[in-house]
Amino acid sequence: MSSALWPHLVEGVTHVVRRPLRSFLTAVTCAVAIAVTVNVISLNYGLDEDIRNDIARFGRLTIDVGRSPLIRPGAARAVFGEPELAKIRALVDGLDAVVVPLRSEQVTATGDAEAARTVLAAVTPDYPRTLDIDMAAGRWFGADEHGFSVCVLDRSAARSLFPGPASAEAAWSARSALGRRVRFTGGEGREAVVVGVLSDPMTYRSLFESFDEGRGSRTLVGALLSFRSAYVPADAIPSPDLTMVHVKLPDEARLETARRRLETVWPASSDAIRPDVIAPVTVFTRKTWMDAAGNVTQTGAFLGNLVWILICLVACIMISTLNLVTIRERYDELAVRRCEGARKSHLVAQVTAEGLTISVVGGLMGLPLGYLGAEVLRRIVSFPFRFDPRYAAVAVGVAAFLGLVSSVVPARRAAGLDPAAVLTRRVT
Amino acid sequence: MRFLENVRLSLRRLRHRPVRSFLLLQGTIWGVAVSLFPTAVMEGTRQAVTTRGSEIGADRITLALDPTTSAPKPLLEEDVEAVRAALLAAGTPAIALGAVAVTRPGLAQPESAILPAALLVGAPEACEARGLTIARGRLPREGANGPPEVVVEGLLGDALDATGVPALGAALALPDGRTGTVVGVLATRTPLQRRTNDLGFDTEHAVFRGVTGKLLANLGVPFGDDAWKRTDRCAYAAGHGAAVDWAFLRVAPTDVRAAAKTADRTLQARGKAAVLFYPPVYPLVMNRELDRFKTVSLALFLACLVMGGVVMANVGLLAALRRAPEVALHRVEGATRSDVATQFLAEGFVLSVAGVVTGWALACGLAQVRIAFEPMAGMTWAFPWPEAFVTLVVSVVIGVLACLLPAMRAAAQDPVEALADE
Repeated sequence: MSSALWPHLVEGVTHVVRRPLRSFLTAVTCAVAIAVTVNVISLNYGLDEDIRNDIARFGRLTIDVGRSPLIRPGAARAVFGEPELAKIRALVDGLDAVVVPLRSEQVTATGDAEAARTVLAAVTPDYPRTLDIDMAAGRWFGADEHGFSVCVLDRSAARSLFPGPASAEAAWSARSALGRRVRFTGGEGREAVVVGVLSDPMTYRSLFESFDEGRGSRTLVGALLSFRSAYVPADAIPSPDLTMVHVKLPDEARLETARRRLETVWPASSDAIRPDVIAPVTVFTRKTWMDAAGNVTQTGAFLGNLVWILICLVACIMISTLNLVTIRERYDELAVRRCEGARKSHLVAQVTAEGLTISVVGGLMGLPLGYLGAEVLRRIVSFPFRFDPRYAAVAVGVAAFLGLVSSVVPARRAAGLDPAAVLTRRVT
Repeated sequence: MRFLENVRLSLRRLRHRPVRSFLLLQGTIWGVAVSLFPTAVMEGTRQAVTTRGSEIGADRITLALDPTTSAPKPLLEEDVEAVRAALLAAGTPAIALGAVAVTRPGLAQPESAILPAALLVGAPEACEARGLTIARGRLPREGANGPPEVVVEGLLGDALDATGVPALGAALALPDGRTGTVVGVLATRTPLQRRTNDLGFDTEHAVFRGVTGKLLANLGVPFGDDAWKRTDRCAYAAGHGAAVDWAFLRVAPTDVRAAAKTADRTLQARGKAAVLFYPPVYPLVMNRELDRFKTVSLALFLACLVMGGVVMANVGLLAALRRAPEVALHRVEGATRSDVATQFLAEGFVLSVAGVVTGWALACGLAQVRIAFEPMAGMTWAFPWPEAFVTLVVSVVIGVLACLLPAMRAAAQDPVEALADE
């Protein structure tokens, strides 16, 4: 930096202090914009990141083969049973795959309370390996346990069935469901002891479920992903008919091989709404679904950015206009500096340094303001705000950018004036 | 009188510097717009659900068997009747409930003949349950001698009329191989109604095809081979069969959520795994819980307004300085300190009102854009007058408060000093 420029930068910063009220008011405008920016970024990217983490726990290396979720009245129901299971085992032979057949029913479960629309899933002891979730309490059932002797509950199912006293709602523990008995509709003797509770991969379940109007329109297979299931040993539902077969692969390379092999027999499930091309049995690769869902949340976060960009743009327009108005009273001062030998670039630097100082100070004021605002909103709307120092850094960067952009135009205009014309009052 | 004079003076200043005033009013304009437009969409849709629920399909629930379950038990007419009884007992009675078995035309059937896109055999009440009304003739009766009586949907009726023979009384080849007699023609649905699926989405909307449809599929919502529902070329015949493919239910729009839950529980208790479709957005919009999310709009509104107020105060302080000679002249002419202060406050008032009115117009534009991107067929917007009035009051109060400090400064100036400086 040239030594001639330095005094002008110092002068710019000093001018901020010389006009404390006006500088403070401009900084407040900037602070409010940054507070909104911090809030929106925390919400957007916090949500996006959490949803991605949640989705990642649904078993990225698992492939599901089963009937496609297509309602086709009058058409014959696709055959999907033991012969298909044998075919799948043969296709993934040599890939160290874990193959888990699943039979499921939609039932009403009753513990201390009743839980309608519970998915009763009969699976082998290998089922947890198809997911990336830990046990919240207890254990999974073993190969020596059969029928309705034992069951494992998803955490949210356990909480619905054994809610405990209302006064201790916040302190609910998954352990409280262990050893309790659950009855299932659909036949006599369908009663099992809870031996384990599976963790819930969904961070924002309560927020999601309070507005989940589409629950009733999800199929059993779709409902499995909402993690409100009860799992029992495979022979508890002795039907030859299978709902689905899960295939867990050890790594992405073998996942790709398995996917290719399976898709030689059954086509991939398509997310396009084309009933005429959907096959009765399809191959669903969770990795593909996760990547697609991740892209949707990323798009949502991107669109959410429009809010803070709009607010910053509004702040920028107003501060620019304000600077254009206020710079007029300093034409004399700037003209004198030009006469003293200051170059145009020096004046631009001086005014820009002033704007930058105010906006960065405003930005720093905006961080605690944003935090306070988020706390208030969190209490009212239960929004899951998540703060991260990176977001604060982005917000301060935005503040600096705001200051730069809003002072450059007025600075260039002031620097471009003819000092003689200003001092002889031909320009005001 | 003095105040009106000040308002006139302020309006003149606004006209004198329209661009600058417009730029400085951005905070108020956007604050009002971002707070009003979500409310406009929410309230407009609430009104539509309440007053035109049947027209937009907000009162309909469709039931079918879950296609993915193991060894499913078929859906029977008695299950549907059990749902009717349960709804009545729950205090959310069905306006209409009808179950049908669907037969689609076979590939071998001639394309040139006028053939219904689907034949729905079941309770004639299914027509009413689907929101269809008789335009001509009557509903079919079961057990009549001779060929089966059928009622046809609007476009099929038009197609029959176009052959030169009136649709009523015409013989119609049916997809199940029989020939029926047309005894009634249903009113033709609007193009938007014909494009709308059981979840209330416009199936031809770009956002539905590109995003929403895929999202629903990813959430495990099944899709039906149900394009025939949107052809308006189906035929209905009365009859009873063992199993039914689809059941159509109509209840009061405000009862949809509760009725769907009751129907779901009833079928589960009978060991049937069903999927239920209804437009999810309408119950969501009607849910008063959603009102707390207005806090977010309110927060944005206040943030924008604070920015706008602070900028107005800042510009006002500068104006108090720049206009010192003008204020001094006023004082010399006999204006009191309170007159000077009132003039500054009137400017804040006029600027705020101008900002709010522009913000209202912008809110209407944003609501219109939001609706254009919405694949839910019945979503609409209406200008929310009560909230708009609140934005006006709050904005004016903040605008006038913002001008208080400059007004006090201007009023406190000594006219002699100001004129001497000049």
